[in-house]
Amino acid sequence: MFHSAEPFTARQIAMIEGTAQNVAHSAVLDLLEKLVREKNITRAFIARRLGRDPAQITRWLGSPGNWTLQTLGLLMAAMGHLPTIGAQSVESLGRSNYYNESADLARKSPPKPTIEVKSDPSSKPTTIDLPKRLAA
Amino acid sequence: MRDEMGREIRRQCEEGELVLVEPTIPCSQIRPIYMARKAYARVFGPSAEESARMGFLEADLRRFISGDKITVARGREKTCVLKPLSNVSEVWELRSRDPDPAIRVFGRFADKDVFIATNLEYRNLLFEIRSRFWAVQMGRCQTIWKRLFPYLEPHRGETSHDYVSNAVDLDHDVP
Repeated sequence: MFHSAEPFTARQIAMIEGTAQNVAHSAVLDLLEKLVREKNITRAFIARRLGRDPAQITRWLGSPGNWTLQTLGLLMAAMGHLPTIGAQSVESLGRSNYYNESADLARKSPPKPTIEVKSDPSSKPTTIDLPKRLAA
Repeated sequence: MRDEMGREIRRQCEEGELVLVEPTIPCSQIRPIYMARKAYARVFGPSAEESARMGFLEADLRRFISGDKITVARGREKTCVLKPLSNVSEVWELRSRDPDPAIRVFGRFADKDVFIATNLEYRNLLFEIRSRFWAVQMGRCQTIWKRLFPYLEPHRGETSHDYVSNAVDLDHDVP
């Protein structure tokens, strides 16, 4: 979808918007978790700094519905930080050293490594399973 | 993961009853989601190709899969991303809250960080919490699980962190 010159579909636009919002929300949660650990920051503290109802802060922290860039800025500023914006190429997404092997269960089992052997050039080849050690 | 659970997931994938969710915007599979066939068709089938709402849902599924930080709550918290509907039946909901109408994806954990999404419904069709419509969806989740894994129980844990990594439990982690 990112490599063509075609206009994005409505679904693709929604996906991109939703992803951007989720990335921003996760960044705030990362910061919050760190500051709760290091400085005992609380929801009440953030609410007081922003002059908001603590319930509003709870809603903001819960999920990013109705978030704007201003919300991101306000929440981070209340925790003594400001957001920085970066860009990552789509090609580089999904390349992580860590990976949950349970996702491999959906993939078909790889075929057994084999080798074909002929006893003489005119004979029909015989297929022999290779031990894993040799296949590697 | 328990060996027998791994074998069953593989078998159900081969038979087309479960499908691994692989988001259009790529990401690492840190917390894989396997979706039951009918639910998958609702989100990714031809009828959903032009649906902006399903695009937002896919973004929310991607967030879970990518391992980015998510919010969990087991108590009264209303705005978290992931929540158990009942500690007894082990039915969880993955919430796609925005935009309206919100969507709830129901499922159970096969293992820590491995979610089996069984069914989904628009939130406005479930009416108030604890209505019979919720009970129907929870029952459907359990029925689909039984069909997929007749002899296997879902993963169980004590705290939210026993179910998902990189989560903020709004009931306990943030004062």
